[in-house]
Amino acid sequence: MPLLQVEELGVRFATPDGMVHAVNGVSFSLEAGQTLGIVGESGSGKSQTMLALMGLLAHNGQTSGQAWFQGQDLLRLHPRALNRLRGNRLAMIFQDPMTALNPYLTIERQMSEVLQHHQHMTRRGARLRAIELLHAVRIADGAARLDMYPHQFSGGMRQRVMIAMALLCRPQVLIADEPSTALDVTVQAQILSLLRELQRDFGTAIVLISHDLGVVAGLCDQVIVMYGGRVMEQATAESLFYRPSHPYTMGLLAALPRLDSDAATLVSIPGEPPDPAHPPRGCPFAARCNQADEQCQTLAPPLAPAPHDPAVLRACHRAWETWPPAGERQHA
Amino acid sequence: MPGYLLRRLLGAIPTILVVVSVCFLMLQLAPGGPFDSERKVSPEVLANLQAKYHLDQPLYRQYGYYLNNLLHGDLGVSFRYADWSVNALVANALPVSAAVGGVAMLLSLLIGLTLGIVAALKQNSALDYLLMLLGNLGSAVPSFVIGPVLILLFCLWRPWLPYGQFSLSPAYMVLPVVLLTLINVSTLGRVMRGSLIEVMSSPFIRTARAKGLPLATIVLRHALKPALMPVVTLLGPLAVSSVAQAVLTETLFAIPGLGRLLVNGALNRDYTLVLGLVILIAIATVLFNLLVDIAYALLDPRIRY
Amino acid sequence: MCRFADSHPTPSPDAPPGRSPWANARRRYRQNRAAQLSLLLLLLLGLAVIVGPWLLPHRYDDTDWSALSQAPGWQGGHWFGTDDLGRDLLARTLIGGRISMLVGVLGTLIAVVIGVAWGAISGFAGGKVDALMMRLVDVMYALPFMLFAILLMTFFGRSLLLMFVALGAISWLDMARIVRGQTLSLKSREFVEAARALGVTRRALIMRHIVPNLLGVVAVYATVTIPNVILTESVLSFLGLGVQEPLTSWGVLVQEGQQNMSSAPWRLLIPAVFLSLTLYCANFVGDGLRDALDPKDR
Repeated sequence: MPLLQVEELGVRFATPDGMVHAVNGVSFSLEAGQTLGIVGESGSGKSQTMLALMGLLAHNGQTSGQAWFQGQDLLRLHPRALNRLRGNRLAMIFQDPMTALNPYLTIERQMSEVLQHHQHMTRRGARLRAIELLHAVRIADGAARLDMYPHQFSGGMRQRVMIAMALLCRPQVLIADEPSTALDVTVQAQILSLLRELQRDFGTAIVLISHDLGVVAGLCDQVIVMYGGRVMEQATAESLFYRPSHPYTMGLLAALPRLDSDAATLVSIPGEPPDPAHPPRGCPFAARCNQADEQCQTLAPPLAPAPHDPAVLRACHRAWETWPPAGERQHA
Repeated sequence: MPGYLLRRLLGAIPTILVVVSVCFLMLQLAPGGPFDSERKVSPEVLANLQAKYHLDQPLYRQYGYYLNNLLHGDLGVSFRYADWSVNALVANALPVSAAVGGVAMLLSLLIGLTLGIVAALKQNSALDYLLMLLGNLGSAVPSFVIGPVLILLFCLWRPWLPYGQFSLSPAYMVLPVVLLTLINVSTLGRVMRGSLIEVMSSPFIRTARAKGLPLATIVLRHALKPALMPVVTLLGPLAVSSVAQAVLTETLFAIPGLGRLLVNGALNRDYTLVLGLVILIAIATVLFNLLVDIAYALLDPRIRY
Repeated sequence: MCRFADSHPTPSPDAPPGRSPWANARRRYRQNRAAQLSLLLLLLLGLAVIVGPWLLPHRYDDTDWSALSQAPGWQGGHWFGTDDLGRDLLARTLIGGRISMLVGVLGTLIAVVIGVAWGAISGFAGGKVDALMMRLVDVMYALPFMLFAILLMTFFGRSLLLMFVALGAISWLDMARIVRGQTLSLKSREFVEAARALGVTRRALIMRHIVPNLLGVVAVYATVTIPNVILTESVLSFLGLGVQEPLTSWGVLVQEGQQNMSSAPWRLLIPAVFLSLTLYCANFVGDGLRDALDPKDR
């Protein structure tokens, strides 16, 4: 029984210029203790998918589909019921720790309130627990740090505080929306290894959203590739990176600059992502895909198990009978 | 924090000095001074002026006396009324202004901020539009138009409230307080609303929502402090504009406060009274702005540390 | 080797046409119905106060002994009624409008001249000069305008010219700040550096490059300043410190109306409506212009 089961999730926004479709039918499931990575370019809808689950969409956002968590459909929950889950069973951390923490409140206040609200702890008890968590995220001198304000921390430390705050109630799912993007590279690596350890120690399932393939490769068991509001491919990290079976995934991997290649130019996927206000009828990638045919333009391919490996799900009309596809080479 | 305070205090001194110096120079332009020989001034007044301002001394000496007087809290003597010192006149008028103004400011804050918060939370609802419309009206229609209309409605067409004189009793205080409150509520309400709307869409509010906190907690604990910052900033200019408001209101309702004292002084050509009042009010404004700065620092931990 | 590198880029089908910033601004302004309506009303009012008095049967200082304190109506041609000296209120309101608007425009003109000069010099000079000049602005900003207007009127009497000067002298602060900000940002823009590199003289630099870019901002803030100046003049007149007889302005008329409220309420309401309408519309137009040029600056 999966922990989280999302079926045909759709997100759209009613704007003065018309309806903007950010997510168009995303389905996946998350098992307990699993790490799932969601990869995609800006505008692919990856963040909006998870924000929809957490009930954090903008005022003009509308959802469709279902998202089952512990027998409840998150998308249809009453706000009060959702509040019981958020911060408690489901936690989320955001991209920019600088702005995600309230600059006017101490760390202690921001952490204690979670425990006071969800677990009815006393302020003192909450404080002690907060110190424990600060220790778990490798912040030395937690007791002194608690009474400081966010601007007194460095970027990496702030993100650790965010993670500690998210784990206070031992949630079953932690959603990390581009947790390391705003940080510099060395700090990035620290945060990611921290997440890996915490996942081991706390047993939390992690959903990691990123546009950075390397980040996802390092941390995740399962990976979903999103484009134009839809899932293009879903597979284990190993399958995805070594044996990509969707033209878009292959394009992404090909675009990664490599130290051992002596190509003079950088490879990129020509064209632009589809306009979310006017989603294409067929496959969203059809306009940029050099494998596309007429069927791809008119009919959106369903997400189905790949013939060469049923554990891999791909949304593509062009079939690969065996792997590697004839005439195609891949990077080793 | 003490360093911050000291710096702001020191920064305020040049402002006060500039005002005082300008006023001192203008004193020289008053009749009976070295630049004017046309107007006749009564001998008693002249004697007072001589004694207080030492007008026969060289300029820098006069300046010294002037500053000295001010440091001792002496605002000078009236140009028109030989028996009265400016201090005495102020002592009579100040409590009245303070009472009316104080009550009005308190009410403005309470009502304005509450309305602003409600409008922000129920954005784009009918209530919101109504409040914004009232707000726009209150700030566009000048107070000396609203005031007489109020008097027209509540004193003349329907004799519910007294009019013509003034005393510090509720019946007489209602209309002036309502007028002052109306104007300030519109500004405060609009700023509070705009500010809270903006704060509620900040990333850290999204984090608070992600933590599953109830709306009341989010608004009161997380959003209110940052949302109040622009309001606090507004208090400075509000104080400055309330000088003009006070002057108008007191003239309209015949309130014997500082504002009316100033206007009468101007109409009577009571130069020294006007100067004394200008200095007093200017210093009060500067000090008020200083208090606002301190409040700012108290609210925002990033300034303190 | 992946084939993507060789493919031709597919053109995006409906790329929106590019728009210059001015076109964007014009579009935003046109969408602002309130501002457009207000502008129309203002123009009508302006026309009325300029041309009206010539078209009316009565002059503003003609006393009509047969119609003292007459309520608005059709008889005698006194459509807005008369005051206690038998003077036609419509004519007086329009003449008062002339003065109020004139004061507004001229006072703003003075404010613009002082403000632009101050701000441009401060911004262009930079460094200590800039710091000092802006400090003075800060000092003046913290003090109530009304006080100084009253002070000036007390000491220097009450001529119309003095009124312009006094009002202009207390209204230039915002303009100076804005102009300084613009000058600073323009000074460091690439085209200025390029012009400098090409050896353009400083004078030509200011005249041909900086001033045209300032015009937009100055026009907007001048429009916003005009209602403020009109308001300040009205307040001063209301207090009895404004224009003197036989001239009149809306502020004076409102004050006269207020004194006779119980017996002749139209004397209060009519100039009050004219004044409020003008201020309301001017505020909308100014806001609309400001929004159009910089929608973030609320």
